This record gives sequence, C-alpha cells and structure tokens, in this order.
Amino acid sequence: MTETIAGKNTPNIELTDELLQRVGKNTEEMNKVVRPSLTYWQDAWIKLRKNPVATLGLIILVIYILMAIFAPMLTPYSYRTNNSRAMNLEPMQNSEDEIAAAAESGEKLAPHIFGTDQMGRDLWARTWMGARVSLFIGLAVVSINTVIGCLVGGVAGYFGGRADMIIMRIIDVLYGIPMIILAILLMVVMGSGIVSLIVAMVAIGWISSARLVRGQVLQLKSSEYVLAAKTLGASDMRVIIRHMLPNISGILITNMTMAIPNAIFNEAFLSYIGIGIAAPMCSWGLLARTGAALMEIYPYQLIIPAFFICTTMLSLNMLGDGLRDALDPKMRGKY
Amino acid sequence: MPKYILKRCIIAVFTLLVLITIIFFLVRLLPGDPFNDPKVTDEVRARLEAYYGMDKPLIQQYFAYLGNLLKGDFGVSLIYTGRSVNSTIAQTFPYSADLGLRALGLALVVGLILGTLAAQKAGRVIDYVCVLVAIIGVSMPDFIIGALLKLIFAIKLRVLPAGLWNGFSYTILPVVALSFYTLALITRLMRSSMLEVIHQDYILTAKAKGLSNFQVIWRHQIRNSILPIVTVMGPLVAAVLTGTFVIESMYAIPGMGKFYVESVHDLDYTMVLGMTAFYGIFLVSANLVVDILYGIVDPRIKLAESKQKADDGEEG
Repeated sequence: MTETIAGKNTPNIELTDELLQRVGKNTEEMNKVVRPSLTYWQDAWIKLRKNPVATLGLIILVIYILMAIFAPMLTPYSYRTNNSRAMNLEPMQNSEDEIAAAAESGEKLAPHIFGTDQMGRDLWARTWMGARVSLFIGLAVVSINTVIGCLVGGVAGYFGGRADMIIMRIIDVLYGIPMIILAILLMVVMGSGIVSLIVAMVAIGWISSARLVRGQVLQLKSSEYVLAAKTLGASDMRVIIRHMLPNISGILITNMTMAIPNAIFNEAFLSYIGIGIAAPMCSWGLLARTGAALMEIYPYQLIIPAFFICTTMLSLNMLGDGLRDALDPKMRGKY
Repeated sequence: MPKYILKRCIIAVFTLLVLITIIFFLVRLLPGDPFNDPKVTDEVRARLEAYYGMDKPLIQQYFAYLGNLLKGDFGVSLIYTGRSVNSTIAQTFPYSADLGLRALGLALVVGLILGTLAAQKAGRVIDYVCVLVAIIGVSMPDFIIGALLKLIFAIKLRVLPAGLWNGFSYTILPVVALSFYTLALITRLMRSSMLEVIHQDYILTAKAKGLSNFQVIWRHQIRNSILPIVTVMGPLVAAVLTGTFVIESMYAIPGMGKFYVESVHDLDYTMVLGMTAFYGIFLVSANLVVDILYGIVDPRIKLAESKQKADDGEEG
C-alpha cells in the first residue's frame, strides 16, 4: 500500500510499509544475552588469567608441584643414600670414583644435577624431596587451620549469643600468645618430625581463620537471601552449606593462599634453628641450614634451597594478590 | 577509653596465665622425667627442687611456679650448674634489645620513606622499585637474607665483619638482615594506606590553600596514613624478636636469641621454659602497649566502629 501525502509545505515522502513499523518493546531483543553468562568461578578465572603477575605465580607453583611429585623419579640417586666417595660435588658433576666405577661396569652415569652435600647425598633428589615436605606442610597446616577456623568461627558467628561470647573470649586470650614461641616450645616437647611441625603450627594458627570466618558469617547472616532461605524453611545446615559457604569461599581461598607462605616460612625457620625436620629426611629449611653452614666453601648448597624457598613464597604472594582481586565480588565485570 | 584499656589489660593477663600454664604443664608431659636424668647434677637437682617444690603435689608446684614468676624469678638451668635464667637474661638481653631496636628503627624510617615515595610517584619507576623491594622482602626469610648478605659482603667482598658485636661496622649486616622483612611490610602498608589518603578532599583543600608539597605530605598525608602501621607494630615486634634467634646465631652476637637456640639444642628444658616465659611476657606486654597506644592515637576508633556497623547493616 503506497500513498502520497501531498500538502502545503510538506515534502513529498513516500510512506512504505517499512517505515510504518511499530516501534516498541520487542521481547526477543530484550531477552537476548549480550555477555556470555559466567559463574562466579569462571569470572574469577578469566580475571586471574588476565593478570600476568598472578599467572606467573600460578605457573611457577604448578611447575614446582609437578617437579616435587616427579623429579625424584628422574634421577637414580636417592635423597637419603650417603656416598662417601662423592661428597660436596659442584652441580652437574660426578666424582672421579663414580666415573671410574661407571666406566668399569659400562653403565651410563647420571650427573648430580644440583651437586651433592657433605654426606654425598644427591642435592637434586634432596631439593625435590624437600619440596614435597615443605609444600605438604604448608598445604596441610593451612587446610587444617581453615577447617577448624570454619567450624569454630562458623558456630560463633551463626549461632551468636552465649556460644559466640565464650568462643570470642577464648580467642581473644589465645590470640595474644606468640605463635612462634609456642611452636618452638611444642617442638621441644614433641621432638622433630612432620606431624609435630603440623601440630605446633595448627595450635595457634587456626585462630585467625576463625576470626575471619566469624566476621564473614556475621555479615552474611543478616543478608536477604539468608532470610529468604530461612523463610522458605531451610534448615540451618542447608543455609550454611548452600548459602554461606559458597559466599565466603572466595575470601577463604585468598586467605589460604596468603597463609601458605607463612606456614612454609615457619617450617623453614623451625628447621633452620634445628628443631623442625631432622636428617636424613629433608625440607627446604633444613637444606638451607646445612647449606649455610658450608656457604664459605660451597655457596651453591645454600643458594639452591634459598632460591626455591624465595621463589615459592614470591609466587604464592603474587598469586594471592591476584586472587584477592579476582575473587572480590565487588570487582565483578570489571576487566 | 578507660574501659577499652581495662579490657585490653584483662585479656593480656589471661593470655599470660594461659601461656604460663601451658609452659608449666608441657614440661610435665615430657617423655620420662628430665629432672631425673643422670646428666643432671645433684646441685642442680637441689636448686630445681627448691624452685619447683618438687616434693609437693602438682597443683602446689604450679602455684609455687606462678609465685616465682611473679617475683621475677624464671628458674635455673637444668644442665649447667650455677646458671640461672635471670642471670642469663640480664647478660644477653641488652645485646638483643640493641640489635632489635636498631632493626626496628631502620625498618620504620626506611619503610616509611619508601612507602611515601612509592605512593607519591604511583605508577612511575620509583614506585615499581619500591614495590619490588617490598615483595622481595616479604618473600625472603631473614635467615636467607642474613646468609646471603654475609656471603657477599663478609666472605666474598670482605668489606664488613662476618660476626660479633664490637662496634658500628659489626652492626650493619645483622641489622639490615633483621630489618628487611619488617621494612618490606611497612613499605607495602604505607604505600597502600597513603594511596587512599592522597585522594581525600582535605588533601585537595590543603593544596588549594597554598601549602607546599612537603607540608602537605608531612602534615596531612603521613599523619593520616600512619595508623595502619601502628596496628601492626605488635606483630612486627614479634617478627623482629623471632628474627634475632636466627640472626644472632648466624652472626655470633652474644644475645638472648642465640642463647635461646643453643638451649633448645642442648635440650636444657628449664632454661627454654624460663626464657619462653620471659619472651611471652615481653611480647604480650608489647602488644598491650601497642593496643593502648592505638586507642590513644586514633580518635576515630569509636567513629570507625560505629561506621563499620552501619556499613554492615547496609550491605546486609
């Protein structure tokens, strides 16, 4: 249908059907999703990957963890076998005795990649065995702390009232006890070893995560969705597991990442002053201790473990900083 | 304010009581009886019996021990005849205090300067250098810094002494090693807290009314951003004190930390317990002082608390 409006001062416009379309709300257009829908974790992952510093930290950590698992298998030497004929070798060397023995038997001789220590133990094997111990202790301590912290802090924050008051008074009192002093004391009494180390560090360490969880739970308790869930008849258990835990998990993970370097440092410190891990078992702290004793003659024995301790703590700190930004819901959608 | 101080004091007293109770009962948990060890000489045994009242029931021993601590008597050595915890502390503590105060002072001065500089020049090269120093410092345990400094400056370059405590040149390496972590932490904190202050309206006002750059930084920015540093002074003192264990052993400084580590190695239980009690009392008191100082320094404590509550309410 085409008609022409002809009138005074009106330009000659041809009105077509196309021009006479209804302009208004179009449900199809409105329902179109412009941005791909992302869950909280996908969003955080994207943000983390866009942060080069945090990504670098993550990559280094993954490499160290893989090496801690597989590297000891890459060398024929054991971390605990003494060899009096291959003591204090520089990296990538073999002693004359070893070369002679290998030439005699016709076997291929594996190099000591990081050299050997004063007992002739292969430092490559010891370094990665130490990585296992140090990383395991760091992870174990922080995980146990977080679980205890969640239980205690959760109960205090969620149920409030007298339970909260009693728990908080206890925490106030315990919080003042210097952690490292108590850890030294416990280590002296329990003797050295991985289990004692973990117990000593958990003894006071759980308190800060309990405080963190309590604060978060207190805040969430008065949120609308918790009220809605309760109104709909959800049990306490369901509210805690379905609504509260996912909402504090971001902060918890950030906190754990930042706490692991502390645990690794404390382990190294206790081993360094001689009450953490005892030889022939090893950890990075113990390696640094034995290395420091010989650093005037064989500096590499100190520098190798020092390098790994520092880069691990650095990576965890960088990753933690990135995670804090990535997991902060207030920063959502900001790339 | 008095209520706040009173509350802090009561908590500190209970903390000490718990710590001392743990210390007392831990030694009873030791496998075997360290006091009956053949190594322990008769004379030492007699002194231990007098100190703990070992013929009396446990609970009386506990109160005797508490009473001794109240009198300022920390006990005697299990292994060395005639050596008491008190005399050891009196001999060694001055060195540790000297070292610790120097390290803390250096960390505060340099940390504040670096943090301020980084915040002023945010995003420029100086900022990146300061942030780098901070992140390396936080990631490097003091025993590694100490060992590396010793290796480079004392052993390879031979410009500074590798140990002992005989004058200013002897103090440089240990003080720098001990202060590094603290310095890094202060730099980091100062930078972030000052970055928040820098964009406040009152800074703009100060600049608008014609104050010089220096005056704006000194009178307005530093004073307003220094509070977070006060809050971490307690843990920082603890970190420096723990650091003295390692640094004093490494640099052969005759301080309390070195002696503590040696006692731990010798399994001189009563010595370790006595010195631990002393360290505990020292740190708890330091924390208490910091808490009270914080309450006095920050007039906004009350305001901040009520604001926090309002914020929580809004979000909830």
